[in-house]
Amino acid sequence: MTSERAITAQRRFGYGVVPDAPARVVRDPLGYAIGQLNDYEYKDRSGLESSSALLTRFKVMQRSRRESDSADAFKAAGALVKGQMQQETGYRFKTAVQSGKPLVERLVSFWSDHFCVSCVKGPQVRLIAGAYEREAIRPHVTGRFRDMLGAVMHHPAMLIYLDNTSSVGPDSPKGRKFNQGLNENLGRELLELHTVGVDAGYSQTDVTEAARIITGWTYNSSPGDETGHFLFDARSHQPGQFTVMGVVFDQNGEAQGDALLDMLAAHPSTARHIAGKLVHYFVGDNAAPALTDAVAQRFSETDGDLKETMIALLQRAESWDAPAAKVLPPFDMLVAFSRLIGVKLKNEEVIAMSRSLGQPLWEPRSPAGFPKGDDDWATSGAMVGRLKLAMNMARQSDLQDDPMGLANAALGRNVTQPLEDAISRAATRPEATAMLLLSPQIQLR
Amino acid sequence: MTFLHPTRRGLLIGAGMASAGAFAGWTHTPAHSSLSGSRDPRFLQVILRGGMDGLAVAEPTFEPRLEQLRQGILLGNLGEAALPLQGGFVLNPKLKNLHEMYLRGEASIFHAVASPYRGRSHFDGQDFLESGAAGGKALETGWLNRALSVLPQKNGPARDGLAVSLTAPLIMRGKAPVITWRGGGLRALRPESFSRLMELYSADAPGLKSAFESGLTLTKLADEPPSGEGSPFVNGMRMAGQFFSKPEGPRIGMIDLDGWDTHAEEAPEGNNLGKALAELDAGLAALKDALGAHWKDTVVAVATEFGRTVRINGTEGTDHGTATVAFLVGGAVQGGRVIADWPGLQDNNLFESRDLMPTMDIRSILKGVLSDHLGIAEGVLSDVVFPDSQTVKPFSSLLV
Repeated sequence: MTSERAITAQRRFGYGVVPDAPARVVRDPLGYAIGQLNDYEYKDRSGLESSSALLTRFKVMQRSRRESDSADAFKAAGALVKGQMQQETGYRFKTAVQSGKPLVERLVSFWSDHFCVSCVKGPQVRLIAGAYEREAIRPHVTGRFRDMLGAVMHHPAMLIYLDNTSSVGPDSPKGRKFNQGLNENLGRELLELHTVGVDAGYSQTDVTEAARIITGWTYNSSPGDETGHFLFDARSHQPGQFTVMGVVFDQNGEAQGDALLDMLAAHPSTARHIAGKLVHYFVGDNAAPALTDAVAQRFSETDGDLKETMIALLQRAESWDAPAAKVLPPFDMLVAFSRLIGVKLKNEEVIAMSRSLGQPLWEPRSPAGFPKGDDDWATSGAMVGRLKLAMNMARQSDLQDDPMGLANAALGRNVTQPLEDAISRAATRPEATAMLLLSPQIQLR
Repeated sequence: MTFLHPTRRGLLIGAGMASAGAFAGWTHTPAHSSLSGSRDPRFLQVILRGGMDGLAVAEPTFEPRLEQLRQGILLGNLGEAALPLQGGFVLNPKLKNLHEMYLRGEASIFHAVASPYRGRSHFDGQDFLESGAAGGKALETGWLNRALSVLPQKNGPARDGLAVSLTAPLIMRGKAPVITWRGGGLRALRPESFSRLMELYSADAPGLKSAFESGLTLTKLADEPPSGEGSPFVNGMRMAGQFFSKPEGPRIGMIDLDGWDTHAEEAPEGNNLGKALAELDAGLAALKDALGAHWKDTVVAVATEFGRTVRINGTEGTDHGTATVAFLVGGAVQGGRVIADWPGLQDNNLFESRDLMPTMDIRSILKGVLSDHLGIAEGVLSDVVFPDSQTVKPFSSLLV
């Protein structure tokens, strides 16, 4: 018998229900969720190239393009970017559908959005956005926040996306020689989005000082073995001591930025900001404030241990008892459909479908990531897209079982009378399947 | 002719407007408030995403350096004759319908236009264009939504702001209610199944229910094109025209079109710029056709986040630039004009030695339209719709 909590463990803390759920989720939903976190050990099994290798290849193509003015080199670079995006999308989608640790995959998605980069920036970010997630996000989702923050801030994808590669201290050797200046983009988002949050009470001066501290944080774009790796460029670094949120940073060089990240990661506002976002992401817009308090407290007392922080969220009853009100984002819906009815999608289809539903992977419109509110994806135009997609996927599925059998196997007693009516009175098997896919039991978490 | 010598920095302004009105246009008070009387104004904002190359859309043939800077993508080399405009400009031949509207006095072309944004990032540029920010950082809500929020209340979901899009883009985000429409599909389910689905939602998912139902309400107002046929943009323009035509339909909306980021192979036949222009042109014609008699009450503003470099790059394309063109189209437009404070193309005329210099703020055009077409007071425009824009005066006499 599938209990309410077993369903919640799969929907709210996973990528949706399946007809053949593991025995443990039925027996012990909380233990099943926590067990995924305890058992997670990072290893890159994608078989895909590193961002440095990709950037090296890209730079070679760019150079030959400049030297020969060749349209062929331009096309080759385009093909590299496109091909990489297809493979990375395929890896992300397949892992989400097949993983025995769907909660870990949800955390990858959460942190990838929290520290988002976006392909709208241009072909270089598009080329390495997937690698960025594999290199800077995945290894740390059950590790320490400070480590993830450090990996993000040292990664070329983030340094390019938020323009730190073109931020130069005005009084640095390079700044004086070429009359170049500061770009505050990454400094600002480091405070506003990545750590303490917009309500932490910092000022524009704090933003500027933070941006000064991380001048020189760039990546190596010259030819050689180090292409695509982080580089501290002392010639761009603004010399001097700076103050951010009342803390003085008098270190030299790269250590100054590391000290800034230490301070921000340990700041109480960061604990609240991260806890609030996690609760909002998993539980919804109307979660109890006490829940956020508990999660923030755990974040603080464990020095930002993300596994312990997540376990604190899981251990609170209100995390499970809040009604399912969050409409699945499009990518999560594709994963949920595929898990439930077993339709296999080609990489190009995943790209096209998530784009047409408004959520192209690694391509949010702003550094704040994709919309996060409970109903943000429930717009009239988007619902039409969902309906069409559900019908198309239902037609593609070669369900041996009847849709009602599938509903019962996946949802147990969560199959309500209206859902049973909708499925049993459908005119065709695809329509019955579509009713299941579109039901609140599948669309909401 | 009423324009000044075009090769110096001077105002180009078309026939039908007294020359004395040229600069007076910047400070003049609105001629009419459209909320009075029987007019029922429609406004559609078209956003071209990717950075449209204004110099390849309306080309200044009088510029002696053009040949040297843009050889390979000049309109004269396209094989199709460029379309004459006033003041020595020619229009890209892919814009035949737009040109016809221009000749009928229903379209104006603005040149050397930019938003306040001076960077070269697509997303920042679009965020500025859509949020209507004055500087610093883009805002969280869109100027069109804020304009909706200051208009008198209308009743019914179909009176909401219309976004021909899957979800509301930034320009439409904010407090005012918005309805989105995108492609057919509601007919994929039989009506009985649809109502059973609504029953499913009414208990557990009211948000899904209302989203579905408002989509259906809108769909019932118009004849949807068969799903999957034709260009989504052209279909969207036709649908917007149909929605705007219904007594209970929306009146203010937006739509967007991608495909303007022409870094390579901009010029040859069948190229990406030509394709995008032809799609835009077909969309404008479809909109006009669908609006029928309501075309006379309609203003369409067409704008992009930024222009492109004056010089072509190594791949016969252009890179991200600054100033570009914008259009006003519609029966309510006092058209047939090219309006520009032309900056010139000599090296010292260019912005950062590479881009067309911006001499006109897109907000002055939009404020002129919102003031004269929708009757929004100048103070509200400067405080709410485009915050901190007191110094950006609404352009007057843009409309009939």
